[in-house]
Amino acid sequence: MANLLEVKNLTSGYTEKEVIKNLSFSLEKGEFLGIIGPNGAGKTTLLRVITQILPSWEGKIFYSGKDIKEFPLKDLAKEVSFLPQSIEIPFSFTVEEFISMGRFPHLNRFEKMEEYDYEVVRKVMILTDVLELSSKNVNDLSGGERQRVYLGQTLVQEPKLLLLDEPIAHLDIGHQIKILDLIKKLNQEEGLTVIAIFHDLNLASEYCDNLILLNNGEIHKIGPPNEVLTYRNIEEVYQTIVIVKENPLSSKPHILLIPQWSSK
Amino acid sequence: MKRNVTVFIFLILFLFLTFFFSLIFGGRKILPQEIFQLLMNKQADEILSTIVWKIRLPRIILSLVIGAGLASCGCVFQGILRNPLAEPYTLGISGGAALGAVVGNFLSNLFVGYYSLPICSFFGALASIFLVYFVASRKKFSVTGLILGGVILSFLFSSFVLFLFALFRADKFHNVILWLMGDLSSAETETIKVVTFAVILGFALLFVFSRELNILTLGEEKATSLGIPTETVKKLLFLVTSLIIGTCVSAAGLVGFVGLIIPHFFRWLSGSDQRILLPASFLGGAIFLGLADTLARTIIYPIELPVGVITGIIGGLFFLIFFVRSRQWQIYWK
Repeated sequence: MANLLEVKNLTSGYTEKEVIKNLSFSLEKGEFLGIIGPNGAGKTTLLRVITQILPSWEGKIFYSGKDIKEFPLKDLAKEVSFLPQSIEIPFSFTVEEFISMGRFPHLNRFEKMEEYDYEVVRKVMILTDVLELSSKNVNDLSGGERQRVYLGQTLVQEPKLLLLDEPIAHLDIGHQIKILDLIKKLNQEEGLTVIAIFHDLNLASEYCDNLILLNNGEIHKIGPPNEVLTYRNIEEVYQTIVIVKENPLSSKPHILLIPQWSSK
Repeated sequence: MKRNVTVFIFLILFLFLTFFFSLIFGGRKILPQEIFQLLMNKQADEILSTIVWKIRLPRIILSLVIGAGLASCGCVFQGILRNPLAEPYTLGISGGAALGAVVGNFLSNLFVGYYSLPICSFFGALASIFLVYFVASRKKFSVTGLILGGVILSFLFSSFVLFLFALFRADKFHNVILWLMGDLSSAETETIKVVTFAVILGFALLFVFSRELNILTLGEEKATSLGIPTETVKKLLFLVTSLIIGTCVSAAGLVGFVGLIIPHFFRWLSGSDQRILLPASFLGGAIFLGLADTLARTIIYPIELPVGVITGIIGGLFFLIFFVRSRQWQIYWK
Protein backbone atom coordinates (compact mmCIF):
# COMPACT_ATOMS: atom_id res chain seq x y z
CA MET A 1 0.00 0.00 0.00
CA ALA A 2 1.06 3.52 -0.72
CA ASN A 3 2.42 5.77 1.99
CA LEU A 4 0.10 8.66 2.75
CA LEU A 5 2.59 10.42 4.97
CA GLU A 6 6.32 10.13 5.13
CA VAL A 7 8.42 11.92 7.71
CA LYS A 8 12.15 12.01 7.00
CA ASN A 9 14.82 13.10 9.47
CA LEU A 10 12.54 15.70 10.98
CA THR A 11 13.94 18.13 13.55
CA SER A 12 12.01 21.01 15.06
CA GLY A 13 11.21 22.93 18.23
CA TYR A 14 10.56 26.33 19.74
CA THR A 15 12.92 29.29 19.35
CA GLU A 16 16.00 27.97 21.15
CA LYS A 17 14.82 24.57 22.27
CA GLU A 18 15.07 21.55 20.03
CA VAL A 19 12.10 19.31 20.83
CA ILE A 20 12.01 16.59 18.19
CA LYS A 21 15.22 15.18 16.80
CA ASN A 22 15.75 13.41 13.53
CA LEU A 23 12.39 11.61 13.42
CA SER A 24 11.63 9.28 10.54
CA PHE A 25 8.54 7.16 10.01
CA SER A 26 5.87 6.55 7.44
CA LEU A 27 2.18 6.03 7.56
CA GLU A 28 0.06 3.91 5.23
CA LYS A 29 -3.27 4.99 3.91
CA GLY A 30 -6.01 3.80 6.26
CA GLU A 31 -3.65 3.27 9.18
CA PHE A 32 -4.52 4.22 12.77
CA LEU A 33 -1.29 5.38 14.37
CA GLY A 34 -0.96 6.18 18.05
CA ILE A 35 1.73 8.40 19.50
CA ILE A 36 2.62 7.77 23.11
CA GLY A 37 5.36 8.98 25.40
CA PRO A 38 5.91 10.97 28.57
CA ASN A 39 5.15 14.68 28.94
CA GLY A 40 7.55 16.80 26.94
CA ALA A 41 8.55 13.94 24.64
CA GLY A 42 7.57 15.99 21.58
CA LYS A 43 4.19 14.46 20.72
CA THR A 44 2.30 17.71 20.24
CA THR A 45 5.27 19.34 18.53
CA LEU A 46 5.28 16.58 15.93
CA LEU A 47 1.60 17.16 15.06
CA ARG A 48 2.19 20.91 14.94
CA VAL A 49 4.94 20.48 12.38
CA ILE A 50 2.80 18.20 10.23
CA THR A 51 0.01 20.82 10.20
CA GLN A 52 2.51 23.60 9.39
CA ILE A 53 1.77 25.44 12.62
CA LEU A 54 5.47 25.10 13.47
CA PRO A 55 8.19 25.20 10.82
CA SER A 56 10.53 22.23 10.49
CA TRP A 57 14.18 23.00 11.14
CA GLU A 58 15.57 20.10 9.23
CA GLY A 59 14.17 17.16 7.35
CA LYS A 60 11.10 16.82 5.21
CA ILE A 61 7.50 15.69 5.38
CA PHE A 62 5.85 14.21 2.32
CA TYR A 63 2.10 13.97 1.92
CA SER A 64 1.02 11.70 -0.94
CA GLY A 65 4.60 11.86 -2.18
CA LYS A 66 4.69 15.67 -2.30
CA ASP A 67 6.66 17.92 0.04
CA ILE A 68 4.17 19.36 2.49
CA LYS A 69 5.73 22.82 2.16
CA GLU A 70 4.63 22.91 -1.47
CA PHE A 71 0.98 22.78 -0.46
CA PRO A 72 -0.74 26.12 0.00
CA LEU A 73 -2.13 26.06 3.56
CA LYS A 74 -5.69 26.00 2.32
CA ASP A 75 -5.08 23.01 0.06
CA LEU A 76 -3.41 21.16 2.89
CA ALA A 77 -6.46 21.88 5.05
CA LYS A 78 -8.62 20.03 2.53
CA GLU A 79 -6.51 16.91 3.16
CA VAL A 80 -5.39 17.11 6.77
CA SER A 81 -7.40 18.28 9.75
CA PHE A 82 -6.22 18.78 13.30
CA LEU A 83 -7.90 18.72 16.69
CA PRO A 84 -5.70 20.56 19.20
CA GLN A 85 -5.49 19.63 22.87
CA SER A 86 -7.63 22.54 23.97
CA ILE A 87 -9.75 25.10 22.19
CA GLU A 88 -10.94 28.23 23.93
CA ILE A 89 -13.66 30.28 22.32
CA PRO A 90 -14.02 33.70 23.89
CA PHE A 91 -17.32 34.37 22.11
CA SER A 92 -20.62 32.61 21.81
CA PHE A 93 -20.88 30.59 18.61
CA THR A 94 -23.69 28.12 18.13
CA VAL A 95 -22.82 24.47 17.52
CA GLU A 96 -23.88 24.75 13.90
CA GLU A 97 -21.90 27.95 13.28
CA PHE A 98 -18.87 26.38 14.92
CA ILE A 99 -18.98 23.13 12.97
CA SER A 100 -19.65 24.96 9.69
CA MET A 101 -16.36 26.85 10.09
CA GLY A 102 -14.68 23.57 9.18
CA ARG A 103 -15.91 24.06 5.59
CA PHE A 104 -13.63 27.09 5.28
CA PRO A 105 -10.89 25.39 3.22
CA HIS A 106 -13.45 24.23 0.66
CA LEU A 107 -14.92 27.66 0.02
CA ASN A 108 -13.51 30.45 -2.09
CA ARG A 109 -13.43 33.93 -0.66
CA PHE A 110 -16.81 35.04 -1.97
CA GLU A 111 -18.38 31.61 -2.16
CA LYS A 112 -21.30 30.77 0.09
CA MET A 113 -22.09 27.40 1.60
CA GLU A 114 -24.06 25.39 -0.93
CA GLU A 115 -26.38 22.47 -0.59
CA TYR A 116 -23.50 20.02 -0.58
CA ASP A 117 -21.73 21.87 2.25
CA TYR A 118 -24.90 21.94 4.36
CA GLU A 119 -25.33 18.25 3.67
CA VAL A 120 -21.80 17.50 4.88
CA VAL A 121 -22.37 19.54 8.05
CA ARG A 122 -25.66 17.76 8.70
CA LYS A 123 -24.20 14.32 8.19
CA VAL A 124 -21.32 15.04 10.53
CA MET A 125 -23.69 16.40 13.16
CA ILE A 126 -25.69 13.19 13.01
CA LEU A 127 -22.52 11.12 13.13
CA THR A 128 -21.16 12.96 16.16
CA ASP A 129 -24.61 13.01 17.75
CA VAL A 130 -24.88 16.77 18.19
CA LEU A 131 -27.74 17.51 15.82
CA GLU A 132 -30.18 18.33 18.61
CA LEU A 133 -27.61 20.74 20.09
CA SER A 134 -27.22 22.66 16.84
CA SER A 135 -28.50 26.04 18.03
CA LYS A 136 -26.88 25.87 21.48
CA ASN A 137 -23.89 27.95 22.47
CA VAL A 138 -20.74 25.80 22.33
CA ASN A 139 -19.50 27.23 25.62
CA ASP A 140 -22.64 26.05 27.42
CA LEU A 141 -22.10 22.38 26.57
CA SER A 142 -20.66 19.67 28.80
CA GLY A 143 -17.11 18.48 28.22
CA GLY A 144 -18.17 15.39 26.32
CA GLU A 145 -20.58 17.25 24.07
CA ARG A 146 -18.02 19.95 23.40
CA GLN A 147 -15.39 17.42 22.35
CA ARG A 148 -17.86 15.89 19.88
CA VAL A 149 -18.54 19.35 18.46
CA TYR A 150 -14.81 20.05 18.12
CA LEU A 151 -14.34 16.70 16.42
CA GLY A 152 -17.29 17.52 14.15
CA GLN A 153 -15.54 20.65 12.95
CA THR A 154 -12.47 18.65 11.94
CA LEU A 155 -14.66 16.08 10.15
CA VAL A 156 -16.55 18.54 7.94
CA GLN A 157 -13.15 19.43 6.50
CA GLU A 158 -13.53 16.00 4.83
CA PRO A 159 -9.94 15.14 5.69
CA LYS A 160 -8.05 12.12 4.46
CA LEU A 161 -5.69 12.39 7.40
CA LEU A 162 -7.00 13.24 10.86
CA LEU A 163 -4.60 14.43 13.56
CA LEU A 164 -5.82 14.29 17.14
CA ASP A 165 -3.98 15.68 20.14
CA GLU A 166 -5.27 13.82 23.19
CA PRO A 167 -8.83 13.60 21.89
CA ILE A 168 -10.12 12.02 25.10
CA ALA A 169 -8.32 13.98 27.79
CA HIS A 170 -10.66 15.15 30.58
CA LEU A 171 -13.51 12.90 29.44
CA ASP A 172 -15.18 10.19 31.49
CA ILE A 173 -14.72 6.59 30.34
CA GLY A 174 -18.13 6.51 28.64
CA HIS A 175 -17.32 9.53 26.50
CA GLN A 176 -13.79 8.26 25.88
CA ILE A 177 -15.10 5.09 24.30
CA LYS A 178 -17.83 6.95 22.40
CA ILE A 179 -15.31 9.30 20.76
CA LEU A 180 -12.75 6.61 20.01
CA ASP A 181 -15.35 4.21 18.63
CA LEU A 182 -16.54 6.92 16.29
CA ILE A 183 -13.01 7.61 15.06
CA LYS A 184 -12.31 3.89 14.68
CA LYS A 185 -15.51 3.48 12.71
CA LEU A 186 -14.47 6.21 10.27
CA ASN A 187 -11.06 4.61 10.08
CA GLN A 188 -12.49 1.17 9.28
CA GLU A 189 -15.42 2.12 7.08
CA GLU A 190 -14.25 5.23 5.27
CA GLY A 191 -10.55 4.49 5.22
CA LEU A 192 -9.74 7.65 7.18
CA THR A 193 -6.08 7.70 8.21
CA VAL A 194 -5.58 8.74 11.82
CA ILE A 195 -2.70 9.88 14.00
CA ALA A 196 -3.69 10.33 17.62
CA ILE A 197 -1.75 11.22 20.74
CA PHE A 198 -2.64 9.14 23.77
CA HIS A 199 -1.80 9.29 27.43
CA ASP A 200 -3.86 6.21 28.19
CA LEU A 201 -1.64 3.34 27.03
CA ASN A 202 -4.41 0.76 27.25
CA LEU A 203 -6.75 2.66 24.97
CA ALA A 204 -3.86 3.28 22.57
CA SER A 205 -3.24 -0.45 22.59
CA GLU A 206 -6.87 -1.28 21.84
CA TYR A 207 -7.49 1.17 19.02
CA CYS A 208 -4.20 1.64 17.16
CA ASP A 209 -2.67 -0.48 14.41
CA ASN A 210 0.75 0.87 15.20
CA LEU A 211 2.32 2.90 17.94
CA ILE A 212 5.22 5.31 18.12
CA LEU A 213 6.79 5.52 21.55
CA LEU A 214 8.52 8.89 21.78
CA ASN A 215 11.14 9.75 24.35
CA ASN A 216 13.10 13.02 24.54
CA GLY A 217 12.13 13.85 21.00
CA GLU A 218 13.33 10.59 19.55
CA ILE A 219 11.55 7.42 18.50
CA HIS A 220 12.21 4.86 21.16
CA LYS A 221 10.20 2.17 19.46
CA ILE A 222 7.77 1.91 16.58
CA GLY A 223 5.52 -1.01 15.64
CA PRO A 224 2.29 -2.80 16.51
CA PRO A 225 1.10 -2.52 20.14
CA ASN A 226 2.39 -5.94 21.20
CA GLU A 227 5.93 -4.99 20.15
CA VAL A 228 5.92 -1.48 21.59
CA LEU A 229 4.06 -2.01 24.83
CA THR A 230 6.49 -4.32 26.56
CA TYR A 231 7.30 -3.76 30.21
CA ARG A 232 10.91 -3.11 29.28
CA ASN A 233 10.08 -0.30 26.84
CA ILE A 234 7.59 1.30 29.17
CA GLU A 235 9.80 1.14 32.22
CA GLU A 236 12.70 2.66 30.32
CA VAL A 237 10.73 5.55 28.91
CA TYR A 238 8.26 6.34 31.68
CA GLN A 239 10.63 5.50 34.57
CA THR A 240 7.92 3.56 36.31
CA ILE A 241 7.31 -0.10 37.01
CA VAL A 242 4.47 -1.86 35.22
CA ILE A 243 3.13 -5.31 34.49
CA VAL A 244 1.96 -6.07 30.96
CA LYS A 245 -0.88 -8.56 30.58
CA GLU A 246 -3.15 -9.45 27.73
CA ASN A 247 -6.70 -8.23 27.31
CA PRO A 248 -8.66 -11.50 27.27
CA LEU A 249 -11.09 -10.28 24.61
CA SER A 250 -8.89 -8.43 22.14
CA SER A 251 -5.60 -10.13 23.05
CA LYS A 252 -3.94 -6.69 22.91
CA PRO A 253 -1.40 -5.82 25.60
CA HIS A 254 -2.82 -4.32 28.78
CA ILE A 255 -0.70 -2.37 31.22
CA LEU A 256 -1.12 -2.56 34.96
CA LEU A 257 0.47 0.12 37.12
CA ILE A 258 2.44 -0.80 40.23
CA PRO A 259 2.42 1.96 42.85
CA GLN A 260 5.72 2.20 44.77
CA TRP A 261 4.44 3.41 48.13
CA SER A 262 4.25 -0.25 49.29
CA SER A 263 2.24 -0.99 52.42
CA LYS A 264 3.93 -4.22 53.40
CA MET B 1 -31.34 34.21 8.85
CA LYS B 2 -34.68 36.04 8.64
CA ARG B 3 -33.94 37.63 11.96
CA ASN B 4 -30.71 39.08 10.64
CA VAL B 5 -32.45 40.57 7.63
CA THR B 6 -34.85 42.30 10.01
CA VAL B 7 -31.92 43.59 12.05
CA PHE B 8 -30.37 45.16 8.96
CA ILE B 9 -33.62 46.70 7.75
CA PHE B 10 -34.04 48.33 11.14
CA LEU B 11 -30.44 49.49 11.18
CA ILE B 12 -30.73 51.22 7.84
CA LEU B 13 -34.01 52.79 8.90
CA PHE B 14 -32.46 54.01 12.14
CA LEU B 15 -29.47 55.37 10.26
CA PHE B 16 -31.74 57.58 8.14
CA LEU B 17 -33.71 58.64 11.19
CA THR B 18 -30.47 59.50 12.99
CA PHE B 19 -29.37 61.53 10.03
CA PHE B 20 -32.54 63.64 9.92
CA PHE B 21 -32.78 63.87 13.67
CA SER B 22 -29.23 65.23 13.82
CA LEU B 23 -29.88 67.65 11.00
CA ILE B 24 -32.95 69.10 12.69
CA PHE B 25 -31.68 69.44 16.24
CA GLY B 26 -29.07 71.95 17.21
CA GLY B 27 -28.57 75.52 18.33
CA ARG B 28 -31.05 76.64 15.72
CA LYS B 29 -33.85 74.11 15.31
CA ILE B 30 -34.53 73.44 11.67
CA LEU B 31 -37.99 72.39 10.67
CA PRO B 32 -38.38 69.46 8.27
CA GLN B 33 -40.20 71.69 5.76
CA GLU B 34 -37.25 74.08 5.79
CA ILE B 35 -34.95 71.27 4.72
CA PHE B 36 -37.44 70.38 2.05
CA GLN B 37 -37.49 73.97 0.82
CA LEU B 38 -33.73 74.05 0.87
CA LEU B 39 -33.55 70.97 -1.30
CA MET B 40 -36.23 72.23 -3.70
CA ASN B 41 -35.21 75.80 -4.27
CA LYS B 42 -31.76 77.28 -4.20
CA GLN B 43 -32.84 80.80 -3.23
CA ALA B 44 -33.34 79.81 0.35
CA ASP B 45 -32.37 81.77 3.40
CA GLU B 46 -28.60 82.31 3.31
CA ILE B 47 -28.08 81.66 7.00
CA LEU B 48 -30.15 78.51 6.93
CA SER B 49 -28.28 77.27 3.91
CA THR B 50 -24.93 77.91 5.62
CA ILE B 51 -26.00 76.13 8.79
CA VAL B 52 -27.22 73.08 6.92
CA TRP B 53 -24.59 72.71 4.23
CA LYS B 54 -21.49 74.16 5.85
CA ILE B 55 -21.91 73.40 9.52
CA ARG B 56 -24.32 70.67 10.33
CA LEU B 57 -24.12 68.29 7.38
CA PRO B 58 -20.31 67.88 7.38
CA ARG B 59 -20.29 67.30 11.10
CA ILE B 60 -23.07 64.70 10.92
CA ILE B 61 -21.27 62.86 8.17
CA LEU B 62 -18.09 62.90 10.22
CA SER B 63 -19.85 61.55 13.29
CA LEU B 64 -21.49 58.73 11.33
CA VAL B 65 -18.27 57.77 9.59
CA ILE B 66 -16.12 57.81 12.72
CA GLY B 67 -18.68 55.81 14.68
CA ALA B 68 -18.83 53.23 11.90
CA GLY B 69 -15.05 53.02 11.63
CA LEU B 70 -14.30 52.68 15.34
CA ALA B 71 -17.04 50.08 15.89
CA SER B 72 -15.71 47.97 13.00
CA CYS B 73 -12.18 48.13 14.42
CA GLY B 74 -13.56 47.02 17.79
CA CYS B 75 -15.00 43.86 16.17
CA VAL B 76 -11.69 43.11 14.51
CA PHE B 77 -9.53 43.57 17.61
CA GLN B 78 -11.88 41.51 19.74
CA GLY B 79 -11.64 38.74 17.15
CA ILE B 80 -7.89 38.78 16.61
CA LEU B 81 -6.85 39.28 20.22
CA ARG B 82 -9.67 36.99 21.39
CA ASN B 83 -10.50 39.57 23.99
CA PRO B 84 -14.06 40.86 24.46
CA LEU B 85 -12.81 44.13 25.97
CA ALA B 86 -10.46 45.05 23.15
CA GLU B 87 -11.11 48.16 21.06
CA PRO B 88 -8.96 51.01 19.70
CA TYR B 89 -9.30 53.15 22.82
CA THR B 90 -8.93 50.55 25.58
CA LEU B 91 -5.90 49.06 23.83
CA GLY B 92 -4.13 52.41 23.71
CA ILE B 93 -4.06 52.37 19.92
CA SER B 94 -6.11 55.55 19.57
CA GLY B 95 -3.63 57.11 21.97
CA GLY B 96 -0.74 56.10 19.74
CA ALA B 97 -2.56 57.57 16.76
CA ALA B 98 -3.08 60.80 18.69
CA LEU B 99 0.61 61.10 19.45
CA GLY B 100 1.30 60.44 15.78
CA ALA B 101 -1.17 63.13 14.75
CA VAL B 102 0.55 65.65 17.00
CA VAL B 103 3.92 64.87 15.50
CA GLY B 104 2.25 65.24 12.11
CA ASN B 105 0.85 68.58 13.15
CA PHE B 106 4.32 69.84 14.03
CA LEU B 107 5.69 68.49 10.77
CA SER B 108 2.90 69.84 8.58
CA ASN B 109 4.96 72.87 7.64
CA LEU B 110 7.78 70.66 6.49
CA PHE B 111 6.09 68.18 4.17
CA VAL B 112 2.78 67.21 2.49
CA GLY B 113 1.05 69.99 4.42
CA TYR B 114 -2.25 68.98 5.91
CA TYR B 115 -1.91 65.30 4.99
CA SER B 116 0.99 64.81 7.35
CA LEU B 117 -1.58 64.63 10.16
CA PRO B 118 -3.51 61.54 9.07
CA ILE B 119 -0.36 59.95 7.70
CA CYS B 120 1.59 60.31 10.95
CA SER B 121 -1.52 59.32 12.87
CA PHE B 122 -1.73 56.14 10.80
CA PHE B 123 1.87 55.28 11.65
CA GLY B 124 1.22 56.06 15.30
CA ALA B 125 -1.71 53.64 15.29
CA LEU B 126 0.26 50.99 13.42
CA ALA B 127 3.22 51.21 15.79
CA SER B 128 1.04 50.90 18.87
CA ILE B 129 -0.95 47.97 17.42
CA PHE B 130 2.24 46.05 16.86
CA LEU B 131 3.52 47.01 20.29
CA VAL B 132 0.30 45.76 21.90
CA TYR B 133 0.21 42.61 19.79
CA PHE B 134 3.87 41.82 20.35
CA VAL B 135 3.62 42.25 24.11
CA ALA B 136 0.29 40.40 24.28
CA SER B 137 1.58 37.36 22.40
CA ARG B 138 4.83 37.27 24.40
CA LYS B 139 3.41 37.72 27.84
CA LYS B 140 0.14 35.79 27.56
CA PHE B 141 -1.91 38.45 29.29
CA SER B 142 -5.30 37.68 30.77
CA VAL B 143 -8.30 39.44 29.28
CA THR B 144 -8.23 42.24 31.82
CA GLY B 145 -4.43 42.34 32.04
CA LEU B 146 -4.14 43.32 28.41
CA ILE B 147 -6.77 46.02 28.79
CA LEU B 148 -5.04 47.40 31.87
CA GLY B 149 -1.87 47.63 29.78
CA GLY B 150 -3.80 49.39 27.03
CA VAL B 151 -5.31 51.92 29.39
CA ILE B 152 -1.87 52.66 30.83
CA LEU B 153 -0.50 53.09 27.33
CA SER B 154 -3.37 55.39 26.45
CA PHE B 155 -2.72 57.53 29.50
CA LEU B 156 0.98 57.73 28.67
CA PHE B 157 0.35 58.79 25.09
CA SER B 158 -2.19 61.46 26.07
CA SER B 159 0.23 62.86 28.62
CA PHE B 160 2.95 63.04 25.99
CA VAL B 161 0.59 64.88 23.67
CA LEU B 162 -0.20 67.47 26.33
CA PHE B 163 3.46 67.76 27.25
CA LEU B 164 4.48 68.41 23.66
CA PHE B 165 1.80 71.05 23.23
CA ALA B 166 2.64 72.77 26.50
CA LEU B 167 6.23 72.89 25.31
CA PHE B 168 5.75 74.06 21.73
CA ARG B 169 2.22 75.41 21.22
CA ALA B 170 0.98 76.66 24.56
CA ASP B 171 -1.52 78.90 22.74
CA LYS B 172 -3.38 75.81 21.43
CA PHE B 173 -3.40 74.00 24.74
CA HIS B 174 -7.14 74.35 25.30
CA ASN B 175 -8.02 73.04 21.82
CA VAL B 176 -5.78 70.03 22.35
CA ILE B 177 -7.48 69.12 25.59
CA LEU B 178 -10.83 69.18 23.81
CA TRP B 179 -9.44 67.16 20.93
CA LEU B 180 -7.97 64.57 23.29
CA MET B 181 -11.40 64.08 24.79
CA GLY B 182 -12.83 63.30 21.38
CA ASP B 183 -14.29 66.30 19.61
CA LEU B 184 -15.90 66.61 16.20
CA SER B 185 -16.21 70.39 16.08
CA SER B 186 -12.80 71.29 14.68
CA ALA B 187 -12.67 69.02 11.64
CA GLU B 188 -12.27 70.62 8.23
CA THR B 189 -13.94 69.56 5.01
CA GLU B 190 -10.71 68.10 3.71
CA THR B 191 -10.40 65.96 6.83
CA ILE B 192 -13.93 64.69 6.46
CA LYS B 193 -13.23 63.57 2.91
CA VAL B 194 -10.09 61.71 3.97
CA VAL B 195 -11.83 60.00 6.89
CA THR B 196 -14.88 58.99 4.85
CA PHE B 197 -12.72 57.50 2.14
CA ALA B 198 -10.51 55.63 4.61
CA VAL B 199 -13.40 54.24 6.66
CA ILE B 200 -15.42 53.00 3.71
CA LEU B 201 -12.42 51.47 1.99
CA GLY B 202 -11.19 50.01 5.27
CA PHE B 203 -14.52 48.51 6.15
CA ALA B 204 -14.85 46.89 2.72
CA LEU B 205 -11.44 45.24 3.21
CA LEU B 206 -12.27 44.07 6.72
CA PHE B 207 -15.58 42.65 5.58
CA VAL B 208 -13.85 40.60 2.91
CA PHE B 209 -11.94 38.93 5.74
CA SER B 210 -14.91 38.34 8.02
CA ARG B 211 -14.80 34.57 7.63
CA GLU B 212 -11.11 34.53 8.53
CA LEU B 213 -11.91 36.70 11.55
CA ASN B 214 -14.38 34.08 12.79
CA ILE B 215 -11.77 31.37 12.54
CA LEU B 216 -9.03 33.47 14.12
CA THR B 217 -11.16 33.58 17.28
CA LEU B 218 -10.55 29.83 17.62
CA GLY B 219 -6.84 30.47 18.14
CA GLU B 220 -3.70 30.13 16.08
CA GLU B 221 -3.60 26.34 15.92
CA LYS B 222 -7.12 25.90 14.63
CA ALA B 223 -6.82 28.80 12.22
CA THR B 224 -3.60 27.47 10.67
CA SER B 225 -4.93 23.95 10.37
CA LEU B 226 -8.04 25.32 8.65
CA GLY B 227 -5.82 26.90 6.02
CA ILE B 228 -5.30 30.49 7.17
CA PRO B 229 -1.78 31.97 7.09
CA THR B 230 -2.49 33.62 10.43
CA GLU B 231 0.48 35.99 10.69
CA THR B 232 -0.05 37.42 7.21
CA VAL B 233 -3.78 37.88 7.70
CA LYS B 234 -3.30 39.53 11.08
CA LYS B 235 -0.70 41.93 9.71
CA LEU B 236 -3.00 42.87 6.88
CA LEU B 237 -5.90 43.47 9.23
CA PHE B 238 -3.67 45.58 11.48
CA LEU B 239 -2.71 47.69 8.50
CA VAL B 240 -6.35 48.28 7.56
CA THR B 241 -7.47 49.07 11.12
CA SER B 242 -4.55 51.49 11.48
CA LEU B 243 -5.78 53.28 8.40
CA ILE B 244 -9.24 53.65 9.91
CA ILE B 245 -8.07 54.57 13.41
CA GLY B 246 -5.34 56.90 12.18
CA THR B 247 -7.68 58.99 10.05
CA CYS B 248 -10.48 58.97 12.63
CA VAL B 249 -8.19 60.10 15.44
CA SER B 250 -6.54 62.79 13.32
CA ALA B 251 -10.01 64.20 12.72
CA ALA B 252 -11.69 63.77 16.08
CA GLY B 253 -9.18 62.77 18.73
CA LEU B 254 -9.90 60.06 21.26
CA VAL B 255 -13.52 59.01 20.97
CA GLY B 256 -13.61 56.09 23.38
CA PHE B 257 -15.68 52.96 23.87
CA VAL B 258 -17.65 53.01 20.60
CA GLY B 259 -15.72 49.91 19.52
CA LEU B 260 -16.56 48.25 22.82
CA ILE B 261 -20.26 48.93 23.30
CA ILE B 262 -21.48 48.47 19.75
CA PRO B 263 -20.02 45.04 18.95
CA HIS B 264 -21.16 43.83 22.37
CA PHE B 265 -24.68 44.93 21.70
CA PHE B 266 -24.82 43.15 18.37
CA ARG B 267 -23.12 40.05 19.70
CA TRP B 268 -25.93 39.89 22.21
CA LEU B 269 -28.53 40.60 19.53
CA SER B 270 -27.42 38.42 16.65
CA GLY B 271 -24.45 36.29 17.67
CA SER B 272 -20.71 36.33 17.08
CA ASP B 273 -20.54 35.55 13.36
CA GLN B 274 -18.41 38.39 11.99
CA ARG B 275 -20.18 38.26 8.65
CA ILE B 276 -23.20 39.67 10.50
CA LEU B 277 -21.45 41.34 13.42
CA LEU B 278 -19.08 43.48 11.37
CA PRO B 279 -21.62 45.16 9.07
CA ALA B 280 -24.13 45.47 11.93
CA SER B 281 -21.50 47.20 14.07
CA PHE B 282 -20.54 49.42 11.15
CA LEU B 283 -24.12 50.71 10.87
CA GLY B 284 -24.76 50.62 14.61
CA GLY B 285 -21.56 52.57 15.34
CA ALA B 286 -22.65 55.26 12.90
CA ILE B 287 -26.07 55.55 14.54
CA PHE B 288 -24.57 55.59 18.02
CA LEU B 289 -22.01 58.29 17.39
CA GLY B 290 -24.45 60.34 15.29
CA LEU B 291 -26.89 60.44 18.19
CA ALA B 292 -24.14 60.96 20.76
CA ASP B 293 -22.81 63.97 18.89
CA THR B 294 -26.27 65.49 18.52
CA LEU B 295 -26.68 65.06 22.25
CA ALA B 296 -23.27 66.62 22.84
CA ARG B 297 -24.18 69.63 20.69
CA THR B 298 -27.52 70.26 22.33
CA ILE B 299 -27.59 68.99 25.90
CA ILE B 300 -26.22 72.13 27.56
CA TYR B 301 -26.57 74.55 24.66
CA PRO B 302 -25.04 77.09 24.03
CA ILE B 303 -22.03 75.16 25.30
CA GLU B 304 -21.10 72.28 23.03
CA LEU B 305 -19.57 69.24 24.70
CA PRO B 306 -16.90 67.13 23.04
CA VAL B 307 -18.65 63.93 21.92
CA GLY B 308 -16.06 61.90 23.83
CA VAL B 309 -17.67 63.09 27.06
CA ILE B 310 -20.93 61.41 26.07
CA THR B 311 -19.33 58.17 24.83
CA GLY B 312 -17.07 58.24 27.88
CA ILE B 313 -20.01 58.34 30.27
CA ILE B 314 -21.98 55.63 28.47
CA GLY B 315 -18.91 53.50 27.78
CA GLY B 316 -17.48 54.01 31.25
CA LEU B 317 -20.70 52.82 32.86
CA PHE B 318 -20.81 49.86 30.51
CA PHE B 319 -17.21 49.01 31.34
CA LEU B 320 -17.97 49.25 35.04
CA ILE B 321 -20.97 46.93 34.80
CA PHE B 322 -18.86 44.54 32.78
CA PHE B 323 -16.23 44.41 35.51
CA VAL B 324 -18.73 44.01 38.32
CA ARG B 325 -20.38 41.14 36.47
CA SER B 326 -17.11 39.79 35.10
CA ARG B 327 -17.34 36.45 36.91
CA GLN B 328 -20.05 35.39 34.57
CA TRP B 329 -17.99 36.38 31.58
CA GLN B 330 -14.99 34.49 32.82
CA ILE B 331 -16.86 31.28 32.13
CA TYR B 332 -16.04 31.79 28.49
CA TRP B 333 -12.39 31.54 29.42
CA LYS B 334 -12.87 28.44 31.60
